[in-house]
Amino acid sequence: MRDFWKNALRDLGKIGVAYIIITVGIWLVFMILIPQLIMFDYSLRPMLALRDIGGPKDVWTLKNYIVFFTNKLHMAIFFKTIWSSFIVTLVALAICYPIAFYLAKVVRGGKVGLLMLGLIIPYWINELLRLFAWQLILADSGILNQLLILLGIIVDPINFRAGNGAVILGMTYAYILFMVFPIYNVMESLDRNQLDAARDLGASWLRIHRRIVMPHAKPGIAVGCTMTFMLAAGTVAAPQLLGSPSSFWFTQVINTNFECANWNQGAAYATVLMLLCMIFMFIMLKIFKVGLKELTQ
Amino acid sequence: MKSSKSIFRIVVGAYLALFFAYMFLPLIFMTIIAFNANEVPQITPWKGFTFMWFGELAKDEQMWKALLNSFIVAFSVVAISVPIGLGGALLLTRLQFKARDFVYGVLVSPILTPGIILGISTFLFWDSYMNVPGGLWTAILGQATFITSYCMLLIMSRAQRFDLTQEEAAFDLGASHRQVFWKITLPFLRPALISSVALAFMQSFDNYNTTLFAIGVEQTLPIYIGTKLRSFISPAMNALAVVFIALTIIGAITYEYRRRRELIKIR
Amino acid sequence: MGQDVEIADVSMRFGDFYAARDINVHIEAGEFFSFLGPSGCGKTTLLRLVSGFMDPTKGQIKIGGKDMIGIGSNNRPTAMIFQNLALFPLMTVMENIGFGLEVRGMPKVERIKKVEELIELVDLFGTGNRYVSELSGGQMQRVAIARALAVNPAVLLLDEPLSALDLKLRHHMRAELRNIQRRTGVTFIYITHDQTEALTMSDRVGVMSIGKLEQVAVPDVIYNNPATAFVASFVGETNRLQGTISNIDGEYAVLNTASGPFSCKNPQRMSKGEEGTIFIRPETVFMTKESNASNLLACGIQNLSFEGAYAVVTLKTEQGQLLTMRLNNDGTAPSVKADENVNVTFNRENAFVLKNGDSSSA
Repeated sequence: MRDFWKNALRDLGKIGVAYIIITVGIWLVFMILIPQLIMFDYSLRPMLALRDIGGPKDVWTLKNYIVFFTNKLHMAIFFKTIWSSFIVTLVALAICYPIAFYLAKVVRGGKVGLLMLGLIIPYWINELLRLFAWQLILADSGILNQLLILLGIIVDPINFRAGNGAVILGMTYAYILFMVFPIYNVMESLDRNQLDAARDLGASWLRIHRRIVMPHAKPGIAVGCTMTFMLAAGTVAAPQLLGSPSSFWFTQVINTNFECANWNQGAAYATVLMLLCMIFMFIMLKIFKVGLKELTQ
Repeated sequence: MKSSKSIFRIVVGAYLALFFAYMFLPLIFMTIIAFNANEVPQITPWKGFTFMWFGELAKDEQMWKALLNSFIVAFSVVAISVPIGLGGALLLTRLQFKARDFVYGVLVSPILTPGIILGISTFLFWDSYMNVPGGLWTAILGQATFITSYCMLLIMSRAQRFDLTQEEAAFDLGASHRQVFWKITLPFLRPALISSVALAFMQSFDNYNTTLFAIGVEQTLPIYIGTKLRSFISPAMNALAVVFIALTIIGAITYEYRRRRELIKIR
Repeated sequence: MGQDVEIADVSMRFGDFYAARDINVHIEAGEFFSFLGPSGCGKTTLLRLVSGFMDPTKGQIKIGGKDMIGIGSNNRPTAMIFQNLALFPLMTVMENIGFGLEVRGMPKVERIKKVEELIELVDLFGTGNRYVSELSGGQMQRVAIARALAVNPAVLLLDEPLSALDLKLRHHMRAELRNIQRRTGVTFIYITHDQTEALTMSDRVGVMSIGKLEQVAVPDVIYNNPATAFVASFVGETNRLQGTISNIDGEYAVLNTASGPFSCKNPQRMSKGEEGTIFIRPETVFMTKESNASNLLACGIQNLSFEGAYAVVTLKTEQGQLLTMRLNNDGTAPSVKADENVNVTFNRENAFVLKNGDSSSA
């Protein structure tokens, strides 16, 4: 410990060490830890009238969580959110893996820059506007219905936004690039000679991917899946813009709690959502056998 | 052999075409609608080419106020996240301590947390414990919580490639810690600091989830868009999207142009 | 001008590992001193202790008579030339050389004058405004030297600065370094694992093995009279014969070895009955026709390899011991063929017995 401070002061100086302690301290304590703990504390207290706060009724209780686990509708929405987010993640992975591989290892030269530009442009446009574009396509009088009517396939417009389909489709579109870039980044570092060597030894394309490319791309796949799942499960905009009353999302339940001024209940629901995302991340780490460090490179 | 290769090429080409159509067609439709005089944001019926939606957008004072707020928030987030991110990067790359991996995990956790949770927790802390009502300030802090993690990772990846003997050489030649930092370390980190400024600005400017819960009654541009899209949909939103798309394309092309020029300079 | 460096009882410990142990050496002002040893022997640690990048676990370091413990590298009268040179890539040659002056607050006009003098000293005309990445290896070396000399150090510390250069340039830079040292009068402390480098350039050499300073002496003493078995085997090539001392004869000792008894010098004053190794340099072994000469070895010639100025002859004694011998290509040496049987001998003046030490790294 004494060596630690001695070395730190020697390398970075008093001002340097103070700078690190102050900046990281503020961030860690006042922006990460305390707000999180306070939210957790909120979730463990009952909703009370202002005069009762701090009074005898203000005690820790699991009531808010019990409310959640006994509310059949909320539980159903919760599981639907998990399930749909999982589908979004899988579809995005299926679409992105070939694209990332193509960009990283097949195409060469100036074409890469152009294709990357093609990926970055939609990435930089506001998430809400990306979802809005799909609203225009899927609306009752939208482009898709008009096209189908024009082609004589249907007579009356279909309400695409009735189920969860529209939300899932829109989310896949909105978050797909969070899957492409992490996978692309790890695949780029794969030595092309390894692929040539494997092919030279007579391995089929399928086997090359299973034995060489996939193991190498594991950290990228893990981070892409974690990010996509987290964004999908935590999205507010997609169900707002593309959903119908029948496709209520868990974040909307949280939102409703806050709008009804039941912050304690809302905090409990938010904690549940956070736990879900953490569990998903740890499952990803286990499945792909990567460390947190590789996950955020 | 040859024919199987050409089939492969056709499949790959078709897949790419489909993928980029999926990425760009919605944006193209949105752009076309922005120029249709139809009140309902649809391509058909086509009621003639017009710039009126851009005019309508420009007349919307709420939009301008939200835009101004977005700039205030984004600049503040940059001012908070980049210096703290630098501190975090120095902590994790320059100091050796046992809990290093744990601290790293905690400092990157905001990236892996859903945005709404950061918004909610920031709001709860400041609004009810510190008596700071939700507004731009809470939005700034909520966004900065996770944007700082991005900045830190960006700066770290460059700091890891730093050759420490350069600092030693500077010390050896009589430089003080302050001089070493300003003349050796900071110039080396400069490209990463510039990218993290750009990243922090864009992340903040685009943020919806965290802001929505933290900002109270104020509006940034994404909140304004969200409100508009939920209530009354007008092609003015398409006009706004076109402005975004145009700015993005200009930005991307300038970036790519400058990057290529840099590459030529290095050679 | 240079100042003297006194390293007294210095030890440096990392956990359980001693990188330097009880080092005592006094380096004179204006001396060119080399620490020679294999990689991992602690010589770089010693240099970093002198430069002030770390403080020793134990002991004293004095420069010009002043205690340096606790004084940071930026306040010591030393300047270091790093193994990787550590030039500042974002600065031009002039900015690199002037860095030490800039941080001392020297006005720009004065600084430029001084930098130009240094550019002249190290022969770098016309490169002042280039970036260091645009220079050749030799030019970078010169920038590093000029940058270190700019701050008028009393002691210049050099950490294997020539190891990255090709052979020809290395030879050239050796002469140049020696030249600059003479002209400036600065004390040079040079670290190397290359014995030729150490022996040709230095006034004195300190030979190190795993944290220990084995011998400090002028180059020819190091070569001709190594103090320990490690020094004998690390510096130059040697033949070794192991045995037990059977007799002491003044400065000489007689050892019983597998190949018979041999007489040699006894610098460590070993006594009768002790085990030791006789070291004989290949160039001091010669052939003889006399069959009753002392220190005689009957051998078969196993291999001959012609190297130009001399030939290296590998010999095998009847007992299976391998020896090497050099035959100078000056017309005086008798011609020999492989598989021939010859008698070789050596002068007892040219051989010495030393205690068996750890010579595994040689």
